[in-house]
Amino acid sequence: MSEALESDASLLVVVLDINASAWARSALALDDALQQTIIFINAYLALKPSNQLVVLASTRQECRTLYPAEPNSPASSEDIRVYEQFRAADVAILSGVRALLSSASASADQAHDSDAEHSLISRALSKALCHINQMRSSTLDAVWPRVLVLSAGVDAAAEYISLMNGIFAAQRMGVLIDVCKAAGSGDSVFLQQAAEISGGVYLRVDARAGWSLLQTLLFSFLADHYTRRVLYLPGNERTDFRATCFCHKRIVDIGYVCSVCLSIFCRLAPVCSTCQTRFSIRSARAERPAANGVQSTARTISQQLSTTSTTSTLV
Amino acid sequence: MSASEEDFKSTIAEYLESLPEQFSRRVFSNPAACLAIFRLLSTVGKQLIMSMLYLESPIKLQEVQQWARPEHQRTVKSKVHQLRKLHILVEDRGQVLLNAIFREQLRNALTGGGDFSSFGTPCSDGNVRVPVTLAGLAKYADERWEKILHFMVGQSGGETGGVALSESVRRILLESKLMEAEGSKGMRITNSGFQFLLQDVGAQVWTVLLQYLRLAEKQEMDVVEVLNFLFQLVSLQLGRGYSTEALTRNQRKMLGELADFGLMYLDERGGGRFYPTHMVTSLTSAAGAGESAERDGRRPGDSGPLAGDESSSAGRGRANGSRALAASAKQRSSELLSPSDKGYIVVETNCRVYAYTDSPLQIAILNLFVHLVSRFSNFVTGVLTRSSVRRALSHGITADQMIAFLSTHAHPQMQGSTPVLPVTVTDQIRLWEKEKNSLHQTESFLYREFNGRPAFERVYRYAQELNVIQWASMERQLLLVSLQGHAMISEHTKKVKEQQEKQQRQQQQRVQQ
Repeated sequence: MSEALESDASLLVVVLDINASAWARSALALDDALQQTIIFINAYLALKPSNQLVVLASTRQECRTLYPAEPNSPASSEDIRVYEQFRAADVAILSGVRALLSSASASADQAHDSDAEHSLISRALSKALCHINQMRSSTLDAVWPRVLVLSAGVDAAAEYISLMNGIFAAQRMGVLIDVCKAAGSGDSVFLQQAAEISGGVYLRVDARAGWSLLQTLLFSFLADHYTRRVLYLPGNERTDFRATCFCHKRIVDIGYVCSVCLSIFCRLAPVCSTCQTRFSIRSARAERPAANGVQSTARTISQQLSTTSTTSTLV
Repeated sequence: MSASEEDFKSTIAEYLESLPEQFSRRVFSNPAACLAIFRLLSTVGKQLIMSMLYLESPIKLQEVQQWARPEHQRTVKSKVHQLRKLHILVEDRGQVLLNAIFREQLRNALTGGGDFSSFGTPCSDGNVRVPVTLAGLAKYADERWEKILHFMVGQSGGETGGVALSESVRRILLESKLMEAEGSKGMRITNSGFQFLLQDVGAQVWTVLLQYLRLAEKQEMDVVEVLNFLFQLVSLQLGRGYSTEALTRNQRKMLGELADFGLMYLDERGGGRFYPTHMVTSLTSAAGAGESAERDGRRPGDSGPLAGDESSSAGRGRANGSRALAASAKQRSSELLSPSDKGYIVVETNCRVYAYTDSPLQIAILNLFVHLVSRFSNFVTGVLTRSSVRRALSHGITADQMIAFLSTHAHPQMQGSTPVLPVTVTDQIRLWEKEKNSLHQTESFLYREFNGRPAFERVYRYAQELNVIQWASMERQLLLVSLQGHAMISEHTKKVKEQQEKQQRQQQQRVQQ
C-alpha cells in the first residue's frame, strides 16, 4: 500500500466501551470521559473538512452506531455557540449513550456478577471494520482508516477467538487499531495485541496518577497516518502476547498447539476441537516425561504464524 | 485538494503572518476565526497545536522538536517557525506555549463555550413565506460566479444578456490584476486572469477573498473586523438563514459586496437575513461541496430541492436504518468526490478531447487551450494541438495548470485509471511547454554579404573578442551579433573603413604624384 499523503482524509471509527459497571469502579467518571472524548472528536473533525467519523458504543448487551445518526433521531437543539458540524456529532453521541445506558440498566440485573465488567469489544470491532469496508468501497479517494477503542472493561476470555479474527482482518485491511484504556486497573492483554498487530498505539490512562484522558487523546491518538510518519508517538513498551486456550478460554503461558490449525489448548486433547484432527496420544505421552509436562510454549500469535513449532503429533 | 488550492491557502496564511501581533490578538479573540485559521494550517502544525492545546505550562522547544522522527526534523522545525510567525506559538527563553487568547478561543470553539454569537445568529424560519432552498442557493451562487467568469473570458454577450457587473466586482477584478482596464470603459483579461480561470472554484474564491482584504486595507476599513467576519462566514452552515440585525454597518456592506460574487444570498424581507452559499461554506467544511452535484441532477434518487429550514445534516438520508447509513456514507463520499463527480472531460491518447458539457463557460475555458472541432447539443470535441497549447502558454497558462484542469475535470470513466490522463498527452503538453521555453528571443543583427573572406574574418574576430556573437556560419559568411555588439562593431567597421579610405587616398595621391 502506498504511503499516506498530507492531503488524504482519514476515517476514524471510535468504539466507546460504556460498560456501566466497569466505569463505576474507575477513578474517572463516565460523564467526564464522554465530555473529553467529544472534545477529541471535535478536534478530529476540525483537522480536515474531509475527515469522516463513525462512533460506535458497546455495552454488555449490544453495540450501536451512534454517529452518523439515523435520520429519525431527535432534532438537535439550537445551540448556536457550537460549530454546526460538531454539534451534529456531539448531540448524536450524547443522546445515543444515554439511550443505551438506560436500556442497559433495565436488563443489567440479569448479568452475571463476575462477568459484569467484561466488555465485549469483538462485536464492536467487526462492526467498525464493516463500516470501514463500506465507506471504502463507496469512494475513490484515498481514505486512511483507523479504529480507536476507548476501553474500560476487563478482557472477556470468551471472545478471544472472535477478537483475534477481527484483529487479523484489520491487519489485512491496513486498518490501525488504537487503544486507549481509559478506565479499569490492569492492562487489556487482548487490546494490547490488537494495537501491536495492526500497528496502532496502546496507552493506558491512569487517572489516579494524574493523567488526563483528554491530553492523552489529543497528544497520542489524534495523529493521522501521515502525521505518524513525521512525529513519534508514545509506543507500546511491553505487550503481553499470551494467548487464550480454545478449550477453557483461559490465558495460558504454556499450552498445547495443534500442529495443523495452530489452535491452542491448555490440556492435552485427543482430537483438535477446531479442525477435528486426531492426535496420536501414544507418541505425545511418550514424549511427555522427557518434556516434563511441558509440551509447547504458546508463542506470540505472529510467531505462530511464521514458525510452526509444535510437539503435538499428528496421526 | 489540488496543489493550486494549497498555494492559495498558504498565501492567506502568509497574509496572516504579515499582520502585526496586536492585530492577530484581535483576530484570535473570535472562536470562529481561530477555528478557521487552525484549518488553514498544515497537518503537522495542527497536530502540534492540538498536542499543546490543553497544556497549562510551557514546554521546552527542544522537547517539541524531539517529537519529530529524525528524517522529519526539518519539517517540524519549519512548522514551529511558521506557528511562531503567526503568533500562535509564543517562545520565551527556550520554552514554548500557545498564545493564551488563541488557546482559550480554540478550546471554546471545540467545546462550545465563550462568545455567544461567534458562529452567526441563525433566525427562525417561521415568518418566511418563500423558503430558500439549497438548490436555489446553489443555482444563485453558480449563476453569479459564472457570470463573472463569463465576463472574464469575454463571452458575456451570450445568454447572460449583457454584463451588469457591480462596481465592487469590477474593482476587485482590476485590483487583483486578473483584468486590466482597456480604453475608457472596457476591461481586458490578463495572464494571471487566464491562470485564475483554470483553477478550481475553491482556489478562485480564496483569491477573491484575499484581494478583498487587500482592498479593504486600502479603503482603510478595519482589517481585523473584515478578517473576523470572513472567518465567521466560512464557518456558517449551508442552507441556514442568519440574521443581519447584530451586524455592524461595515459588515453589512461586506455582505452586499460578497453577494455580488454569489458567496452570499441576501434576503431583505422580514428584517433582513443572509444565506451563505456552498461556495463559501465549502471553503473550510466538506458539507455542501456535494450540493452543486445535486443540482446537476447527477445523483439519482435524490428528490428535488430540500427546504431551507433543514440543516443539511438533518436533511440527509430519508431512508431508514442501515440503508440510511449507507446512503449517508455514499453522500459523504460523493462530497469528497465533488470535483470528479462533475467530471465531463475525456482525453484520448491521440490528444483528442471530448467534453460532455453544454455550459458556454466550460467550453470557453476549454477553448483556451484546446482546438475545438465540433459542437453538439450536449458535448464538444476538440484536439490538443501544438498551436492551441502554445497559444495558452503565451497567455501565461502553464502546462501543469492545463494538466491539472483536465485531470480534475476528467470524466468518471477516466478517474479509474492511474494516471488519470494518458501519459502521452501529459508528456506532449509538457514537451510543448519546454519547447516554447527553450526558445529565447534576443534582438540581434545579422551581418551578411561581406566584402570577401578577409572582411568577414576581421569582423568575426573582433566580435569574438567582444564576446557578442549569437551565431555564426563560416561557410556562408553569416554573423549574428547582439544589439550592443552591433553598436561596437559598426563603430569598429566605420573606423576600419575610414582607415582604408585614408590609405586608398594616400595611395591615389602617390599614384598621381
